[in-house]
Amino acid sequence: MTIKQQLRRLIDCLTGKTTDLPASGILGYRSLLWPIWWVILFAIICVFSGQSSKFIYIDF
Amino acid sequence: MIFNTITYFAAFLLPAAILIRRLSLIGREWLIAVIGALFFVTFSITSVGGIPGALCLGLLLAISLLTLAVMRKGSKVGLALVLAAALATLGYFKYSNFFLTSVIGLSKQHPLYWKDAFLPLGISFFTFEFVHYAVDVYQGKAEPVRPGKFLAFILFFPTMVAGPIKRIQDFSLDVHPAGSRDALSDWHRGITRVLVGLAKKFAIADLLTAVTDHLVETDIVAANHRILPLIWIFAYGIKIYIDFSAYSDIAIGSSRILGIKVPENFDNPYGKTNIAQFWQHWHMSLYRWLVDYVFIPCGGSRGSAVATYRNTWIVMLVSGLWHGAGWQFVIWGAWHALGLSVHRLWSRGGVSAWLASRIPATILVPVSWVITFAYVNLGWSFFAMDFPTAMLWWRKVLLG
Repeated sequence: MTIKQQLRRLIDCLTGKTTDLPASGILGYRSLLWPIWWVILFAIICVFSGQSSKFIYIDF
Repeated sequence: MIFNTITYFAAFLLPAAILIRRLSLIGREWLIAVIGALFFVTFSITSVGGIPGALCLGLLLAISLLTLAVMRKGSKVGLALVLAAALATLGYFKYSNFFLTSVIGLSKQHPLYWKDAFLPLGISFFTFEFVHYAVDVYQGKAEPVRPGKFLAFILFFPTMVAGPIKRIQDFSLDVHPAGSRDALSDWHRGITRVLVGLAKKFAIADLLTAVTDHLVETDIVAANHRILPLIWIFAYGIKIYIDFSAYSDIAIGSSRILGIKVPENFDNPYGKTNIAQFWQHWHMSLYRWLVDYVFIPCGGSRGSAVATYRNTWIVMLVSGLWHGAGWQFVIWGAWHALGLSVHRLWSRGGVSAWLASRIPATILVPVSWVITFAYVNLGWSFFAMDFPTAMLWWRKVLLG
């Protein structure tokens, strides 16, 4: 697997696009990576939430 | 809003996700249908009001019952009835005022003009799925389903408002039992996808709003440099992509939390090197719907070259008009039809192959990408602004 493919796989895992994760390893379900990643995402959401905007496509 | 509200997660997604794995298949179907109906009315209260919302739900349920009744036999008359009911409903709510004022030329003071017009929640997406079900059952591509499954399909709340547009053949409520490894996987992947969607929405799309707010007449006139309107439109292009892909992330992630898989909507569309590839990877569930229910019924690409170009224009003009009832959306559709036609002419005429044989890929690929990215983003000018403002924007960009 090339570095580009590995990077793509990592991004797909982190963004939830990969439908299934490996049973073990750094990207596995029991990995500590996930709670840390979720906390980071939650922190980003909290920091940036409160801006007044709507989803563009919602009224179509 | 909806997906960025606490109400959505606390009152709908979480209870549905807990209950769905504890019921039988029939129970799951009705659970999704009932929660979908409550979702429709709840979020209609803030936009159009509770009573109009409930009446619209009644109308959509009536079309659902009609579809179930007439498509059991899959007759041509049944198909015509469903198409007429679904398209007339969409036409009335979304296009009646546009037709009266912009096509016929009536004034807004005319008694026929609907002054308090509103759009029922997700009306376009209901229409897509009614049409899909009726056509596929008629053509024998799908079997008629139970009332519970059909209502769950139509009222499936994560995709109700803006897709992704589902297909009945792929819509399965065979969720994994609570506590199983597969159910945990659904929760894990779904939560990750929803959080990523919310982060994209709040941290990027909403932040870009500050830049795209300048796409108004006064700011365009006042801009000192012609580069500014260009920056604003490119920011809009990034915003609309992040915004809608974030929305799709939350819809797909929510569905996964429920244990249900729905189609993807985006696959790196801005990374593509021609306009045809862009459309195959942008709002993919709509693109496939337009191909299956507009392009192919018109003849697709099986006829003459002229017929193929004509069908491409029909699809893109329909796509434009679907995105909004206004001439600027029709022009936006024409912009993309022109791009697709030129690309087809270019690639079929051997120009692509000729260029590829003379120019190294290290140059050709980035140049193709820049042209595609710029073309798509310039096209957003007709999407982001009304037509006179878009013309002002073009004049500013071209003439300063």
